Amino acid sequence: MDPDDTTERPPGKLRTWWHPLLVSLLASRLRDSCEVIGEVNVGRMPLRLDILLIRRLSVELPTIAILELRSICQRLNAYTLIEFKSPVDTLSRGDWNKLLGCAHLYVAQSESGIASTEVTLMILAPRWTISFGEEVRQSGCAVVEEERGIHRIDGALFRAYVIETDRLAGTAEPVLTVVSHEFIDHRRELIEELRVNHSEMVYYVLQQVEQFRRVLPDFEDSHMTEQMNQTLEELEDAILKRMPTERLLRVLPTEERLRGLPINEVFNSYSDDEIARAVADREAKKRKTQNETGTKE
Amino acid sequence: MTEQLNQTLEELEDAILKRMPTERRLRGLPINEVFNSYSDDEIATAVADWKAKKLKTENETGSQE
Repeated sequence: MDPDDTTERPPGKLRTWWHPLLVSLLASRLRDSCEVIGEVNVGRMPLRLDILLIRRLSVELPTIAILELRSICQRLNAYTLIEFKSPVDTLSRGDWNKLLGCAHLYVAQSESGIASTEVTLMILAPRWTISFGEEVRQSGCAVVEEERGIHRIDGALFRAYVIETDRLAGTAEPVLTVVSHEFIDHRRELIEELRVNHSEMVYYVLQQVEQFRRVLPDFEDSHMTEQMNQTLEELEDAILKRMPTERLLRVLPTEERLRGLPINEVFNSYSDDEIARAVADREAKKRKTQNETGTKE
Repeated sequence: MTEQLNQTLEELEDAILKRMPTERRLRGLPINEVFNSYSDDEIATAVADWKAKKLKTENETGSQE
């Protein structure tokens, strides 16, 4: 493909797998309570919102959403526009005005009209940064830290929050934990914590990653950091440790289990008694077969 | 969980298991069944090695006593 030819590419910045992962997590946790839309184009400009949540007010938020998306659920509005900074991205100068611009464009293109009170802007980022803070202040807005790691930005046309995923990482915020930088840095501790009460979500994350691997052949090369691969391996280990032996037996046929494994190595996994008994059985069986063949001859 | 989700999870588990370390693959597998996957020659050599190793260990233990 000609590198100068951009006609085939979608507008906006390069999407990574973090974005579809968070979209899937939000959709699975919020269920029918929200319509979850990823990659929302805003007008004809090469700008788009990372995630748009349109609250279906007739449907109650499911318990799982309240448990696993506490901070987001508490701040949902009729329209919640989310800018997501993945663990490999940083909040920086320009992000605030760009999000405001996108929000205005989104409202502008609405046919039925949207009241500004119905819109909430939410930025999910690993950390608050000085350059972003300066930009917010320069726009005439004030910042209040409502809770640890959750900053409310006052003074804009829309209600707005910055949620620091790294500072919220932990069992109280499982979904935000999985998309935080903390998860990569402290995976062992966080996996141990999450798998106690949120094993279904951990499974879900793995399932999503497997699907990305299948759909995008260069997925691992392009989008997986070495640390993230290690993290996933530890998640897999955590699941394997919980898996009953019967399940293992059912999934993998004997030939597959033994593929590429020298028999000497196999012996190391059995006791001397087991091997001795098996060898004796085998020899007896062999003798019997030989005798039968001899009799026939 | 719906049946569909269970099915997806099973597919996922299959993918995980295929990348599992060999020691874990053998868990719960009877050794008689293992023998069926190897040739007579491979088994004979491995059994001879195992017997030699066992004899050596027994001798060493005997000398120490």
